[in-house]
Amino acid sequence: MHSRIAGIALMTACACNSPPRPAGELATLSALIDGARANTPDGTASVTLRGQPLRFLSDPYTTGQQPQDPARDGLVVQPAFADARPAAFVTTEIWDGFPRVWAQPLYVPVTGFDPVTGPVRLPDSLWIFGCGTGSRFYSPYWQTYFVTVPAGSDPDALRSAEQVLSSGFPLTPGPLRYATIGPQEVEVAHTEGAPPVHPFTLDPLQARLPMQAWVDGGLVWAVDFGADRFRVNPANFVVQEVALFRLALLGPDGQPQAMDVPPVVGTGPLGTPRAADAPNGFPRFGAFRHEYYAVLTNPAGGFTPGVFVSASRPALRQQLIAQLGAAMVPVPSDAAERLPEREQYTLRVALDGTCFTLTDFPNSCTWFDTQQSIEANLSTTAFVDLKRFSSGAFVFFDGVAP
Amino acid sequence: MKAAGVLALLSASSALAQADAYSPPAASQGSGLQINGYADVGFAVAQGNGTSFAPGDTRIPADYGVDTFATAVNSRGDVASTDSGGRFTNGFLPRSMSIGGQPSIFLSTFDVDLKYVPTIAPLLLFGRVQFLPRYGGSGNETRVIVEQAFARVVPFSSLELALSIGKFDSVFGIEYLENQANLRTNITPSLIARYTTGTSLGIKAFYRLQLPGIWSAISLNAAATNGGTLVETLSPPDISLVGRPIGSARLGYELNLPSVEVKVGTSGEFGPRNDQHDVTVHQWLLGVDLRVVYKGLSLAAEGVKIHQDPGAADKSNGLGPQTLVSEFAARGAYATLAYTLPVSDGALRKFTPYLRYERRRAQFEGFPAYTVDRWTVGFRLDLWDELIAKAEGLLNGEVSGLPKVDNNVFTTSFVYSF
Repeated sequence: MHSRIAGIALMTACACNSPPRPAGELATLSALIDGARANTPDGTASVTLRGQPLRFLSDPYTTGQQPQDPARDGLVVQPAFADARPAAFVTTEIWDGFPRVWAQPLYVPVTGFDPVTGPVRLPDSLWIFGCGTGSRFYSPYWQTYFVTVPAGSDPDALRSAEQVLSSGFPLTPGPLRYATIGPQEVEVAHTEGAPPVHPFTLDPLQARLPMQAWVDGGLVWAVDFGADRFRVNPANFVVQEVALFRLALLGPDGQPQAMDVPPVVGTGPLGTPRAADAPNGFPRFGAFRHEYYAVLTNPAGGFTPGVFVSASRPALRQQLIAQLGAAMVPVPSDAAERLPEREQYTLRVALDGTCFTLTDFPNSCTWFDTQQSIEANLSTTAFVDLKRFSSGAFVFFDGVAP
Repeated sequence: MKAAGVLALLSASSALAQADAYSPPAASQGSGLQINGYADVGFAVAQGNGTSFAPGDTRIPADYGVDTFATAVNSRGDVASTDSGGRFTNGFLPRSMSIGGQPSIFLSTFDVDLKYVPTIAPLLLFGRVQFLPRYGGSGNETRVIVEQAFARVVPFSSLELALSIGKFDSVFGIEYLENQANLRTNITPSLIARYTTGTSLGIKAFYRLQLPGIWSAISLNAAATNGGTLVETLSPPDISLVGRPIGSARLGYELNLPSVEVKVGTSGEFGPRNDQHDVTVHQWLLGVDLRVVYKGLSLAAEGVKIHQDPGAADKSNGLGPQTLVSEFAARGAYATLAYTLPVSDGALRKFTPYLRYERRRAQFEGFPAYTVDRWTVGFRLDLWDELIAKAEGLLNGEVSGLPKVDNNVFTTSFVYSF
C-alpha cells in the first residue's frame, strides 16, 4: 500500500515538474462565436453576438448603447494603434502554442487571362479552399492559384484540392489573400442598417459579406478581406508575423495585468520593426500578430505613463481612473481638448502623462503607439511572450478602410 | 543436471526462434559468442522525383495528404525520396535513400549480429548493430543503429516460456518476422508495416502451449515497450516520452498438419502515443493475420486498424521535433502469395515468384481521407545458402482522396549472409 502511494506521489511529482507544453490550440471563427455565446474572454473580445451592445460604441465609451445588427453576429472592430496612426482590426482566429502558421492554397477557376483586366473567372464558379477548419493547420492566409479550365466548364465540377490537382488543369500563382471560413451570418460588427465604423473616429469601414466556397467537396461560408493583406516566406509559405503589444501593469501578485486600452500593432517581429508596408494606405502587415504584454513598469526616465481620454468622455475617464488611478489619467489641457483630431488619441498611452497638460499637445508627448517607441522606452524584460498568435486584417489604418 | 538444463534451453530456443525470427535457431549453435550478419545491396529507380508529393500540391503539411511511404526501395522501408521541395512536413515520413528519380545502386544495410549463449544459464544475449550508409541533402547522413539488444531467459525447462528485456522485435502481427532483408521473401515492406514492425525497448514474454493431440498450438506474445510497434520515425523507441509503456500482444493459433500449416492470430496494442508527452493522449491498434503453407505455396495476409488521439503542439519522433500532434486513423491490409520452387542442389537452390496486393486508407485530423493501393510483383533467387537476389516492381495507385502521382518503383536487392 505504501509503495503504491509512494508511486502515485512520484508520478504526481513527475507530472508537476514537467515543462509546460505548447497547447497547439486553434480557435477558429466558429469557435470564437461559440466562445462569445459562452462568454469566454477570447470570444467576447472577438465577436459581438447579434443584438448585443457593441462594446466600443456603448457606455462608457460613448453615451447609451448601440446594439449589433440583430440579423447576424459581428466581428468586433478593435481599436488599435499602428505606426503612430489610429487603426482597427478584427480577430478571426487565435492560435495558442503554435510555433508558426502557414498559408494554404486557394484555387480560383478561370477560363483565361485578359491582358488588361487579368484573370477571367469561370462564371458561377466558387473558390476552392485547400484546407478546412477541421484541421489545426487551417489558416485564413491563402496563396491563390488560378485554375485555367475550358470555357463552358461545369462551374461545380471542381470542389476539392484533390480534384483540382488530379484534373491536370494549369495552375497559375496569384496574389496572397486573407479570407476566414466561418458561419454564414457573420460580418464586421455594425448596427442595423448602418455600415461598420471605427469606434473612436467614426470613419466608415467596409462591410464584408460572407460568400460560399468549396472545401473538400463541401460548401462553406467565408468572409474575404482582400488580397495582399499579409506576407509569407515564399520558400515555405510561413506567414510573416508582427508583434502586437498589449500594454500592461504589474498586478499585486506580480503578474502582468492588461490595461483596457487599444493594443499597438507592430510592423515586424519583436525586436525587428520595419517600415510600415502599406502601399496606397493598404497595409500588408498586421494581419498575423504575435502577442506580447508590454509591462509599463519603470519605463525610461521613471515617468508615470498616462492614458489620453478627452473630458468629453467622462464615463470612460471615470472607469479608467477606477482601474488605473487618477495619476495615469491626467486631465487634458484646454489646448488638447480644442484639437479637432483629439479623438485620434483616445486611449493612446504616453510615456509621461503630464504631457497632456502642456499647451503643445500632442507634440509634447512620447507615445507608446509604435513598435519602435515601445521597444526603445521599455526594458527587454518588460515583454512577456503570450505564446499566442491572432489573425485578422486591419479594417482601418491611417484614415483608410482597406 | 546442467547439461539437461542447457538441452532444455536449446530445445525451447529452437521453437522460440521461430516465433521471434531474430536469429538463426539456437539449437544449431554452441555456447559462446557467435557473429553473424548480412549485407543488403540494392539498385532501384522510381518514377517522378521519387516522392509521392504531387506536382502543384502546396497544401500543408505536405505529408498529410499523400502516402509518403509508397516509394519504398529496400527492406527497411526507406523510400527513394522524401524531399518536399521546402514545403512543411510534420513527421509522417519514412527514412529516405535520397536517390530521387535517378536510378542508383546503394548499400541498404550492413548488419552484424552478436549472440552469446552462456553454458550454465538458460540465457540468450543478442545484439544487432546495423550500418546504414546514406547520402542526402546535408551530405553524408550515414547512421549506425542498435536495432536489437536484449537478454532472453527461459526460466522453466518444462514450459515454452521466454522472457526478454531490452530492444527487440515487435509482437504485433506477422510482418515483423521478415523485418530483415535476409529473412524476407520479397524486398519492400507492406503499406501497413509502418504500424506493426517497429522494434522497441521494454520487456516481453512469449508463451506457447503445444496441443499435440490436435496437431495444434496456441501462443501469446506480449510486450510493454517505449515506442510500441510503430516504426522509429513515427514513434521513437529508445526512451519513453510519456513515462508510461505501450502494451502490445498477439494471440496465435497454429495448426501443423503433415501437409499443410495454418497460422492465425489477432493482435492488439494500447497506450500513450510516444511521439508526444501527454500521458492521456492514446493510441490503439487492432490486427488480424493469417498464414497458410501448403507444399511450396504460401499465403500471408494481415490487416490492421490504428487510431491516434490528437494532442498538443509537442510532437517529436525519430525525425526530430515536429509541431502538432494530429489525430490520425488508418486501416489497411495486404495479402502475399508466393510459390517456392526448388531448383537444384547447386548454385541456384530456389526460385520464388511472389505477388502482393495491398490497400490502405488513412486520414489526418481535418484532412480528407485517402485510399491508396499497391501491386507488388517480383521474384527471389536463392543462390547457395549465402546469397539471395531479389527483384520487384511496385505499382502504386491512388484510389481516392488524393491526387494522381507517378510514383511506381522498380527495385532489386542482393543479400549475402555470413
